[in-house]
Amino acid sequence: MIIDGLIEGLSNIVDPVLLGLMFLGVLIGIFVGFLPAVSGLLGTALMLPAIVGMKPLMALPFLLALHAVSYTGGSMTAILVNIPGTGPNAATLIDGFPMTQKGQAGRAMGAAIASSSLGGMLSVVFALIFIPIVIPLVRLLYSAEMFFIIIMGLSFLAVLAGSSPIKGLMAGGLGLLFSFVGFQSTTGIPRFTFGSVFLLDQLNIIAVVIGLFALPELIDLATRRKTIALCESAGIGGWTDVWEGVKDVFRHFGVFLRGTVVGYIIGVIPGVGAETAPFVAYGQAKQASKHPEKFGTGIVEGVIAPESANNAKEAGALLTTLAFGVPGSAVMAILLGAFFLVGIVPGPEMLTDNLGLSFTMLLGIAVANVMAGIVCLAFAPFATRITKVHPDYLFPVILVLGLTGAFAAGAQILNLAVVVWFGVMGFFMNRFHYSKPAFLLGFVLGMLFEHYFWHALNLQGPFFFMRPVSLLIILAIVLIFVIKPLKAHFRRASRKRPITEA
Amino acid sequence: MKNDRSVKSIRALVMFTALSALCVFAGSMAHADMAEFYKGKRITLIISSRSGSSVDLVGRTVAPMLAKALDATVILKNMAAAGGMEGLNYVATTAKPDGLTIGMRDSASCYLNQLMKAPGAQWDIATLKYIANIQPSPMVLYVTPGGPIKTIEDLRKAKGLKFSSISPRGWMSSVITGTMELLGLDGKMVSGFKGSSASALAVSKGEAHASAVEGYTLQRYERKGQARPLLTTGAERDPAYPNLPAITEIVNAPKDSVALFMAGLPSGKLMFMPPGTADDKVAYLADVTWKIINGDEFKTEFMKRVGTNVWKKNVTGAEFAKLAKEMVARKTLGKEMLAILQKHRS
Repeated sequence: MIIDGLIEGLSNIVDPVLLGLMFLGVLIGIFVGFLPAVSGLLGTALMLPAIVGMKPLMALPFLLALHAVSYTGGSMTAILVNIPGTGPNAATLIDGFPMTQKGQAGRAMGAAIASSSLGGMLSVVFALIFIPIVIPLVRLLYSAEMFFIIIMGLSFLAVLAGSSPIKGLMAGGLGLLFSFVGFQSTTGIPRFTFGSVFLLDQLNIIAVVIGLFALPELIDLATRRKTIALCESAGIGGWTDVWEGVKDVFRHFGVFLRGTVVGYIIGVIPGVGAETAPFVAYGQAKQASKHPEKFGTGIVEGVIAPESANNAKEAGALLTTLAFGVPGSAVMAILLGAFFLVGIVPGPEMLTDNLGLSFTMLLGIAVANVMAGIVCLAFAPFATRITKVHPDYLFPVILVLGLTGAFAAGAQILNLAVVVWFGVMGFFMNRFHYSKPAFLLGFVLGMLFEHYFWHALNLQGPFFFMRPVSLLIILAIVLIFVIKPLKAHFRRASRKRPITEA
Repeated sequence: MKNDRSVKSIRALVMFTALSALCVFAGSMAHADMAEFYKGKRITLIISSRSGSSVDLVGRTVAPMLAKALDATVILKNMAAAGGMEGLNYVATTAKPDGLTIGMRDSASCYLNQLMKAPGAQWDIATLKYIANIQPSPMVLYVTPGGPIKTIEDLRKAKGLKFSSISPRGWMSSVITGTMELLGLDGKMVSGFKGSSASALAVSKGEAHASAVEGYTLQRYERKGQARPLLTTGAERDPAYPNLPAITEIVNAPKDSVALFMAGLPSGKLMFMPPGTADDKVAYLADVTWKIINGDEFKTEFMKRVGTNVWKKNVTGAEFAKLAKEMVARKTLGKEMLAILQKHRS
């Protein structure tokens, strides 16, 4: 049956009309991802009226193509101007922008585009292989397990903390605190809102990221009066640099592969959030690296890890959305609406009776990633020229783009105040060396941490951690953080022994 | 004498017919005026819910049909911030009452948020103008398929039940806690699940024992093997589940029982206009919308998009306005509902 579905999916996907429509979706996706003012979420929502009346076989791959590649476009602005095009691109700017400052924008973009496109394609292979076990696997995960998965993500705070672990933890704690603004999810009680209706919702991540990362950088750009690429002797970043970035993905294939696996797994788990995957992938890459101290200074592994996870999570998220109708992210929620709009009702039968359509969508993600990779690689050498533009011209453009992006994220004018607030915070965090990535990880996972904790406690009782699957995840967390120091310890011990013996 | 009486009756009949004709004529003239007013205009349909939600889907179904009927442009705008209250707040407090702004939201959320004084709720359901409430439906209680609870009696006997729900003060929570109160169930409601699908997934996995949802959505969950329907919480049996008893058949609660009110709350997709909108505009739009939502085209599209084979009665704007006023008149209703919610939630 799976083979039949695969053959049907393959024959559907080579339809020239569908390919043309998907290419259009890819172009729109890259464009909306590239512009922080629009974002993939808004782009997908804006396209909803366009699919009314279309056949599901045309409409759904078109929307998926648009959505799946918006992160590829979003990485470009993160790397070039420190503004993530979409929320999940926030992890890319930690190393992407410093690379640009070092004059390696082309290389960073090549690595980002290649890793996100290849990650997207590889995750489709994972999805096809794991279709039979995804549903039983997801059914094993209760709130307790979700809580420990979030804990696993939060434990990377220690990795993202930077040179001072105490300051890193403080920044992470502050991020957690800011994530609690708004309605408490299980009681509906508003917190830290000061009577403001605007603050009832959680603070918008795009506005927070633009404020925290882009605004201090803009102030710096304006006062420094030098181009973004600090290294004057560096080239603009032509084809050679971009190609170098592509080759980097194969040089650091382990980082890429682990990032893709992390992205796929987090994508499959409903309710963990789209922003979680790239941060966990980044933290994991840093933790496993032989030179973790170089992360954050502009190294290519710091771009490959989050970008490979970014697109990889989509194939996983699609499977869960199809099987359970539970969207893993805000965009998946819109896509879920699109399914109903064209008369498709998600359910496990999508992975049994409707396999043809499901495979068409999955293969559509792979094809869209190929298309996006080609388009973005062709565009990258031109985009990197922005790094050599004089700040007098660049400053107003980036400022307007950033502020419009913050406004468009939820169409709330007060998001501009959020940008300014976090801009000031970002400025002081830079000055006093508090880790902004640690803050962001705390902010992204804080709400989920609290949510799943209360659910686990209320649904499974105070001994919720005693479930076998929970114990396995706890063991995995311990192993992740114990193996490396243990290995280092034994290595040191084995080096010392011959000396003492001598 | 007899002749006089018959002459009088004939005269009265003529007068009545003439008056009726005059009313119909005046009405049609007013309708003609209104038709002229809306021709070529731009109407904004504010969806007080996110893109892709069920309210949004119904809004996207109605909008083009409304545009065609009015020969106008209908623009959809999602305003879902503040837990979905943004759009309703906007229509109630900021939008001009010029007849060109229509709001849309789940009807139950409109009055529950106000009655229970939800933080951020700025509207008054007694002052809004109503066009129609599309396909209001009560909820159906369901349990884990293959679990130990197979009958209502099993449910009543069970200890430490856990019900999954979405918003802590929303419609689902109100229905669940009302039902728990009426049936005297032992357990608690755990809210905060992100959507009815997530709540259903928790029940199907056995993480929670039970939950509630509209009949047509439950049909989908049942097809997926995620739910075992047990009881219609409304006053009457649900056409989607004609064999399931309604809660009124099981418990003997007084008609003004707050718990019965909470459990039996139906909710539809409510279309409304800003307070102060001219009555003739509201009446005209209500009339046009009524024809649309009872037409075959809408019926077919609605059933296809929500994935059901069941069609229920729509409610007119005037009927809903009456209901809204009655609810606001029950001064202690909100407090009593909150007390029941507090009692049964975790």
